[in-house]
Amino acid sequence: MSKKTMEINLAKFDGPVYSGRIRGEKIRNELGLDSIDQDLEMQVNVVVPENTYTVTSSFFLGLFGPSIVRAGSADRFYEKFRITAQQAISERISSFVDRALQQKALFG
Amino acid sequence: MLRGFLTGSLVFCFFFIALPSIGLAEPAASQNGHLVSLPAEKTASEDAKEIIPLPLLGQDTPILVKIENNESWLSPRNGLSFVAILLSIFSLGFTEYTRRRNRKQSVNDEFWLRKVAYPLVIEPIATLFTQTVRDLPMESRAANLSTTRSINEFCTGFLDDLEQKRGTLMLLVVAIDPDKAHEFHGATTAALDDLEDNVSNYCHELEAAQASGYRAKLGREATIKKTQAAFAKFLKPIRDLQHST
Repeated sequence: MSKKTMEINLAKFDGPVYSGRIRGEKIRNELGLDSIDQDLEMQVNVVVPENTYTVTSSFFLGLFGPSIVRAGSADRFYEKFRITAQQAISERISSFVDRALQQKALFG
Repeated sequence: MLRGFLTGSLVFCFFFIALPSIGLAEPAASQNGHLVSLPAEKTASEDAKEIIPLPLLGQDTPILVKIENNESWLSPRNGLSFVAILLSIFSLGFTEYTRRRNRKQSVNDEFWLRKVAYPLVIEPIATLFTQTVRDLPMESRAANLSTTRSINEFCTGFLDDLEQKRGTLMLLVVAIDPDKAHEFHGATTAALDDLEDNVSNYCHELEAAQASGYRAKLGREATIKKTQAAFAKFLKPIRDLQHST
């Protein structure tokens, strides 16, 4: 059975610096990520444009924080959200995901 | 002459007849520490003196001691006593409460904050704030103080350093009271988010300005002010935590 897919391209949003938790949360609401999280058949391809200067943790966790917590592990999150980005940004994103999971372990 | 004789007779009668009859002339006999006065007719003769032992109260005869207090329980004196007892109990309780509170404060303040939290977490983050202000690349292109490469190196180094410090912040959150941990974590993380966003935006502005030749929209002074505001925001929950323990 083939999974449904959707794409989130950050190029559609004002870049190349993606910063601010409120901005990330706003985009999350626009995209309806809460309902997408509940759709187990949906796979999301996230594209971080090549010209991106930086993605700050506040923006990323505002955008994907609840999805990471809901996924419960990094593997399950990456299984649903396939992120394509520069190497440096991918590494940074990986540490953001770890941090969100640590927070979940601490506070539930 | 006659008058002198009569006076002498009266004095004689007084000393040798009247005084012995009332028991004042002769000292009383003593036995067991009790003085006994003998009847007048027996004091006349030396042999008539007798020693009569008196019963000892409480030893030979029982004593019933009955203390009656006619005061009511609601008298002012009883009321004062009751208040004094209450104050004593309150004082004991307060002393114990103060002792426990001081001990808790000592553990929290002396150990956790000074020996663990400050050197391992707070000081390194505080240093990061001050270093960021100090090392923030200059915006003057003419002086060639900041090249695109140096700006990028600064920004990458700063973000790596910040991410590492965020990890140590988790240590502090684990160590403090769980009731306050969530709020504390939220407040300190928000301050670090502000720092990260401000510096990232400034570095990008600066690089863009270097590439275009125009002046950066976001100035260094403004970024330093925002960094200082973020530092104050970071310190506030720490101060609040210290005062609440």
